[in-house]
Amino acid sequence: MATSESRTKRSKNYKERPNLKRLQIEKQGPNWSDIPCDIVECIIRYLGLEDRFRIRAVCKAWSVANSHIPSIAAIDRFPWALKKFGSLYGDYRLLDPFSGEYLREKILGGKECRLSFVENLFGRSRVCSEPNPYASVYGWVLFGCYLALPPQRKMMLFLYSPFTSEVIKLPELKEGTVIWVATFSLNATSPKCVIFLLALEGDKNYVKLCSPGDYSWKSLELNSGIKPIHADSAMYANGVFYCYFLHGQLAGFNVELEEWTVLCSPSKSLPLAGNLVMIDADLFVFDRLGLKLKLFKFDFSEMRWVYEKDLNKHALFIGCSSFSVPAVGETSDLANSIVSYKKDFSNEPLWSIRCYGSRSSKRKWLQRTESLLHRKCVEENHIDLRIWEEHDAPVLMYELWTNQFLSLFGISFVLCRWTFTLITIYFGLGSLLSMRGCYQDHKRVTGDKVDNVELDAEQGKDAFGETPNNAEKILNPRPEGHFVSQRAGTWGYVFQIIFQMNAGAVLLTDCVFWFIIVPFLAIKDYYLSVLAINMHTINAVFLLGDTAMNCLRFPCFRIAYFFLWTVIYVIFQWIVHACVNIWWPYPFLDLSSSYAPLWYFSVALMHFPCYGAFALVTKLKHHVFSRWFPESYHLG
Amino acid sequence: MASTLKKIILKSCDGKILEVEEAVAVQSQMIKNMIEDDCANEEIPLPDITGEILSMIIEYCKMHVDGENNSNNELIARDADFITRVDLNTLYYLIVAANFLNVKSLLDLTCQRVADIIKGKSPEEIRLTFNIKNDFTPEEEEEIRKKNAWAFDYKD
Repeated sequence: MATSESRTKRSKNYKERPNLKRLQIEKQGPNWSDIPCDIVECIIRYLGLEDRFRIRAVCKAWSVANSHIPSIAAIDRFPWALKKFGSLYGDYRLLDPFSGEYLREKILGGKECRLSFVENLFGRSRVCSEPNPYASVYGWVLFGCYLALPPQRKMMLFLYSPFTSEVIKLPELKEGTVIWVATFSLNATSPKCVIFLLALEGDKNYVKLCSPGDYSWKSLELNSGIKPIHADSAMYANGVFYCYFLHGQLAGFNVELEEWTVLCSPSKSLPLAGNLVMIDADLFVFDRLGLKLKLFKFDFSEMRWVYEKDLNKHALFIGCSSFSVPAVGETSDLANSIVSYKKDFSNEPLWSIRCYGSRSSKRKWLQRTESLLHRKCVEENHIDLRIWEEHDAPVLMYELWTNQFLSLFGISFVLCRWTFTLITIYFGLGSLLSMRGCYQDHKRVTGDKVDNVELDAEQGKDAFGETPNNAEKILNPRPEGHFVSQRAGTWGYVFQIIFQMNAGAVLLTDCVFWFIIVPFLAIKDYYLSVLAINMHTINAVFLLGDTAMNCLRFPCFRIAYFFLWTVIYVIFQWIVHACVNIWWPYPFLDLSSSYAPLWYFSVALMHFPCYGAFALVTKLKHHVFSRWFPESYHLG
Repeated sequence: MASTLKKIILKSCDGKILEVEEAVAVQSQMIKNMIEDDCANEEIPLPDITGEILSMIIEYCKMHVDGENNSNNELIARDADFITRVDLNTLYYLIVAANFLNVKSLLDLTCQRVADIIKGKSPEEIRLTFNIKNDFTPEEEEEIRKKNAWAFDYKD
């Protein structure tokens, strides 16, 4: 039944078939397989991926012509991205960045799509790190990953084409090699393709070169003018590998002459780290870390970086290798924009388009729903968007960097980071207070012998900015062996409040992380970084340890402080989102969702068990300690 | 003014002679080069192009020269109209001629048309449509299909 149905469907789709059959019988037409190769290539240019592979099976003439065309032809009409999928190492899938559609998902069904090319390549047990993408051009991606070859751990580099699933293994590197930057020139199938590394081997830095098919790397020692550890990005253009070092230092490595030339020395006014990109045969650097969009053009005549106000009607695509295209005609709405990639909290990609130049203040974040329009523009106009490839690893680096920067300015978006900061403050304050306590205790003991109490007390006041009143109170000699509940100072109260806030907040963030985000969002390939896990477990361990040691009170009414803390956080989020259109750190905070009130309410409800649980822990502690050590333990 | 009215004489392989205005003829990069090299004063023999195809190409070029002032969309509509009137056999000769004469816009148009016909078809259907003989051995074909199995996996 099903087959007959589909058959009718098919013949409906290809109505011209019976007509053509008739035509063939009537008159033997020209033989299309005789068509010149360049015309076949021309035709292939208009075909999508699937059709490209299918016509390889039509006849030899077409098949040959097809494999001669580099994969670039397959992708020159749309940008693509690789997205981490599943938990296997190197399990990537081709993705259309604008629509978020998997290009091969519909094709690979069931288990097949879970194939991990890296694990297949080297053996499952040997792969011990996520492949790290270094560069991507012409439809090829340069990956590096660690292999466990007991007793060694070796870095393996290989080129991979997601379009044809071809892999080119590169010669092995020595154990312990550290790669600063890596990139490659031309199409990987071209014999002139060169892979370029700046790497530390032993205690010396080398430029390492090889071509696909070589058996070993060619190593050249580096001259002293360059600090490879500062290398940030590299790209190939016209026979030269350009390297961007921290703060704008630029050096070029001529492949033919095998010579380094330092083109420009570093300056503090230039971006710390940047992506090199070619725009109309000019070399540019895009400030990767800055909050403001900044682009610098390299002026070869004056050998310096010049700030560029305008993208000159180009669209810039930032990935692990960046590229630009002229945006003209119907795609002109992409002109002067920078397309980059960002992950939201659930690791769903967010493609952001930001305007550069005159409209730089206006930010536009591309959501999936809006993206269809752009995709259409891109597809219909066949604009030459070459390669767009993006991965977890560089983005993760990027996020780490930005988080550091953001937290420096006190703009951290995620509650757990707030809590983490608060914990840090708590422990810092705790250490300070106990240091002061020790100091004063020490002074009291020694003060009986030496007559410089006054002087020390004065210093103590200055050092901690205490009011004389408080300091004196603490300085008052106390009867030995008796603990008198004394009024804590302002700092003591602050300390206590922070502790009570922390207790609930840590439990809340940990619960949200482990019970909501991990089970529900981790299914959707949420990538658990070591940092995230640490942040969500170590803090709880520390806090519980601290609770066991301290004698701070934990009355139930102090839950108000905890509420205050989360409310401040949520209000902060609302204010930020009202001003700037950015991503929501927790998906359930999103106000546009119809379940938003429910989510907010349930999270508010979760405050009680979280705080309650901690209150129980302290009760338990009192109970246990007072039973076990009735002598030394007392209630604070 | 005189140069624009200059006529170029083209001779097809079946002996048909066509006079074309220079402005129209220079749509072909090949003829343009010949004019620049001053070799177009006599009739230009086109050994692989029949009169029928040649007149179609000239019609197309004329359409583009006349339509220069028209809007882009109108031109696209005319192109579409032009190409849908062409059957597959004619398309073959047109594509070869456009390649030979190096008329870029026509080559793009015809290639696009062929690609449109190819889209979504299986290799068998493509062979049938374009009258192509399968010159693979079954093993070879199997290997190609295996290599990119995902592209041959149909939903029906």
